[in-house]
Amino acid sequence: MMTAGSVILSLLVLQGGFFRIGYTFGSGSPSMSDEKAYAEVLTDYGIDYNLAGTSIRWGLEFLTDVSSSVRLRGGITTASYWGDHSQRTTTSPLLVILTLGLAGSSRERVLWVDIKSTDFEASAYYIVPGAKWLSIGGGPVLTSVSRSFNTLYSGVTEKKTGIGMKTGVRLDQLSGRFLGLPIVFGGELGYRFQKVELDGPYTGDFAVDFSGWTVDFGTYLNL
Amino acid sequence: MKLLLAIWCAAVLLTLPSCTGISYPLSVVDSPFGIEYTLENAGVVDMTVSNCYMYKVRTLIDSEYMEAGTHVTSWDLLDDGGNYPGDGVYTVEVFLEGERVYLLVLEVVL
Repeated sequence: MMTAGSVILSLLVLQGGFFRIGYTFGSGSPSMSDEKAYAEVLTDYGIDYNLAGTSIRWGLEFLTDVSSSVRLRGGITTASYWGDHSQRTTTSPLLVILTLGLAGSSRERVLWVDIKSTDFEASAYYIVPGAKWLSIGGGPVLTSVSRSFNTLYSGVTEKKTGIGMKTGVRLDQLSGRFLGLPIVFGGELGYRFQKVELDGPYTGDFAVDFSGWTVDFGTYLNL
Repeated sequence: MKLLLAIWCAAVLLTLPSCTGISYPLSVVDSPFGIEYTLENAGVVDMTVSNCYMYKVRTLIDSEYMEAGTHVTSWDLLDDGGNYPGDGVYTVEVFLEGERVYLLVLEVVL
């Protein structure tokens, strides 16, 4: 399998263009409609419960040009989203009094939700003629999500895997060096269709919905 | 100097409310209990218990005509199938003619 992978890699590199592997970091504005509806219930009850405005994303990916007009991308990405009701607790009353509350206390989560997705992605992009640094495309996403709702006394977690889709516009530095190393940069502005209904015995049709705009920035080793 | 001391004392008093432990926002129950609620008007009532996925685990009152006033309905911590749905946060809602008139969020830990 490793030998076959090396052969494929060599053939891809020989096609011309570039081959690069790197680390990406970004954020998204996920829909999370069911999560927001539940947050509203808690807020209606009078609990100061807040959801994050954006998700945080990071991952590993590779990019290669298989022809003068097609760029391929593969990657593994993790996204995180959360919400909580937290309260300030005192760790040192004396320190709180002496520093007028600046020190001696910390915020502790009382009710919180942690939502994660692990995405396996494969995308193909059309390289814009005359602007090889610009490409447009997309592809399928195999996504595994988990939602964990916790309190100080209990925790409920459900997981599910589903299929999604992403589209985007990429900007890639074609060549260059950074600090003497073959490091180049790239980024993508895209939109994901990534809604997974949890399938537990007590979840109904509650969905973890990471659908929405995403922006990612990558640092790559240009091979 | 006295002014500075007065300002410092005032600041300390203002920050003292943060010197407290956690005020847990939910009632924690571990046995069947009664839920007391008040209806402003008579009408058709539905009462449901949902979990943290907003999944309805139990229907306590199903489209029943009730008079205005205070009522008490018990929940035995079981779902519609007679099974325990698990520890966690639950929402009890009372709907009068389709409009929510009572909301209770609590935690069940056995």
